[in-house]
Amino acid sequence: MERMASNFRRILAKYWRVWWITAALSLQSTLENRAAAGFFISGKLLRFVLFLGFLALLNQEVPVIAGVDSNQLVTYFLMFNLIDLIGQSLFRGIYFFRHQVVSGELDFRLTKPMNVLFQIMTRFTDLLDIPLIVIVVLMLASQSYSLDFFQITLLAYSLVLSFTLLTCVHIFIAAVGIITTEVDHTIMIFRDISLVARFPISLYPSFVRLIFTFIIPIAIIFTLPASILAGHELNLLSAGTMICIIALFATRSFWQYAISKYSSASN
Amino acid sequence: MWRVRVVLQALITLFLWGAIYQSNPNAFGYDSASMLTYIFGISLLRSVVFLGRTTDIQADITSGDLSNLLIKPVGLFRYWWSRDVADKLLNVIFALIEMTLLVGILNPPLLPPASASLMLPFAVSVLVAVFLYFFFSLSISFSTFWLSEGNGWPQRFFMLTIMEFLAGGLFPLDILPPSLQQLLFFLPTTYMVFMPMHIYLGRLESNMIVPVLLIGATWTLAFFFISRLLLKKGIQTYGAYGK
Repeated sequence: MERMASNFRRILAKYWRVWWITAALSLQSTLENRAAAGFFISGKLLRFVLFLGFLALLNQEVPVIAGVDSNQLVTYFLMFNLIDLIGQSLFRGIYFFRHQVVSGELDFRLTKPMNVLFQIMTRFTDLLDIPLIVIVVLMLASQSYSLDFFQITLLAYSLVLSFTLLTCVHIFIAAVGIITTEVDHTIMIFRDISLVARFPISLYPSFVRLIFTFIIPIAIIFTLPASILAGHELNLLSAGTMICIIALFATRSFWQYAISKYSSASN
Repeated sequence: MWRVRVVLQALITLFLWGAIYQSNPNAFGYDSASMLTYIFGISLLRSVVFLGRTTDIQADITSGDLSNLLIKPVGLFRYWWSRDVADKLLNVIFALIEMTLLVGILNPPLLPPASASLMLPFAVSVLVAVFLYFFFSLSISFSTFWLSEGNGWPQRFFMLTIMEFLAGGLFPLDILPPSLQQLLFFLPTTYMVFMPMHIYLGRLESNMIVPVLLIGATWTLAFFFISRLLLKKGIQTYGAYGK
């Protein structure tokens, strides 16, 4: 038992070291292009501020939309940003995956003594999202939520579900990428769809809610943690757990199927 | 796949405004039918105005492929315009099919033009918007001569972010506070998709139609000269890297 724990710690340390080096290299690469970094950071900040302005405008005219008040609306928006930004920051490597498939660089990754999905996802860590992540966290912290220990535990659990599902989505996209060599549009479609969750999913018609809960689980990924913070219903927690377990097994099988179809054509 | 994204964006905006109007049927001085017509109209106009091939020029500059064009006996602006029109035609065909399907499925309460006499100013405003965005987008692409990082994508990303809000894609600009509206009135982004729909819905006073079209045309002319100047200066600094 102790040996297993020691092995686990060793593996974890190895992955942490690789991620740290990759992230440091990503930072160096980002800082090489300072003007580009400036445009990206200011663009992201501007979009965030303008959308908050839009929410304020909305609040002036419609104080409660489908039972959601302005503070809750801001909570959903902030939580959406937090999860979306962390996901984009950590899994930016997926944007480079198509090139790895069509160029045959994936062969090189497959031969390394490290999980190939880890290598694909963390190939690049986008640190340009960090300033906005800090702002979002500070804004969330400044909201006066009265959470007891049970709610904090639920929030932590919902965030685990959220990031597990987000990882599954990225694995699914990588698997689709191997089979079809199409990654960029798939990830952008997911990002477009996820914009639905800038607002509580309860605002949308029932068939849309159904699709975005059980088929493309945007509601679980982005709005479940926010609904706990906003004090809304928690009936998605058990459904979220089930969906998460199914998604884990399904994406694992799909990835294994996809990798069996990888032909290494360009090498 | 690209069209899937366009349809999704339209659907998301439509659902959002649908929910808002369920809570307040007369929010922002629009009734539900006017707002949904605006959202549908904008989705269609985006395909006519915003979609095109001018973004390809950025990669042509950074990869050096622009050299192939420079040695050919073709007018650059006319070449890029013809590519843009071809792409727009393709997108408009798809957009019409998609919108017909969406209208058939969702059956939103869409309004015809506020009056038949507005059809001509509407058509002219769309034409102005198409040319305005073409020269505007060319100007952004030409900035790649000086800012080539990321194939010129960072500066375009910044402009697209601004346009997402200031062009009226997410919401009509006349729901903003009056002081902001007055400021936006003088910006080029207002004349790209918002103003044509504003005219279509009959929300622009009739005595303002000609001045609005003139301001749009002035911006178009301004960006025509800006893009020409940027191309002229840019080619002087162009290093044909990669070739």
